[in-house]
Amino acid sequence: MRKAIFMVVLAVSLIVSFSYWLIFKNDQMNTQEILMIGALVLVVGFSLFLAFRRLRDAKENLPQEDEMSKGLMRRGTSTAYYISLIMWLGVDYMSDKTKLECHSLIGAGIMGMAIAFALGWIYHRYIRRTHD
Amino acid sequence: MTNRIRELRARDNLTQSDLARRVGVRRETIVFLEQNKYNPSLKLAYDIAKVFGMKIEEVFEVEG
Repeated sequence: MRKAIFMVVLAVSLIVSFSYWLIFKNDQMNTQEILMIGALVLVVGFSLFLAFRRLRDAKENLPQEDEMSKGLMRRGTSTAYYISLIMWLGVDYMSDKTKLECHSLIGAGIMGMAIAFALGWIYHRYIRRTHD
Repeated sequence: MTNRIRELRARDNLTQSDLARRVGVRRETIVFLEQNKYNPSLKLAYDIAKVFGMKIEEVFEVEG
């Protein structure tokens, strides 16, 4: 239950801080910002989805984690790790081509990891046929 | 690996949630088990067999 509440709090704080930024933003949005919004929607949506699953199980007096869900998490994480190695090469390549600031690159890397984890989890949960 | 969970659950008039609660897993895990999409740990297989009052090999079968 605590993890589910933490996920909801994290998602809500992301939505609030993003809304604050959006309200006080004066200039037109550029491509980088639009991509960031898309990534944020995916990450927040995924964390709310995981939190909802946990809360639903808690309501039915079922465990919120078990051997299969932990296995899915592990597989999602390891997929994200492999993807991050490719991302690292991509970011290294891009750093020569563009003048991105250090904090933007770090932010993009962290967001990329979150997206890679979400996609890896979705792949292992919904697309892969068997789970050992 | 195949199993007779769905059949045994119907025999004992248990819902997926009931079985999940009794063996301490999420309902989704029982769904995956019944669809033969998940191979359980030895402990979970043992616990499930115990709920049905049977031996593991009477509930689960390894193919090939």
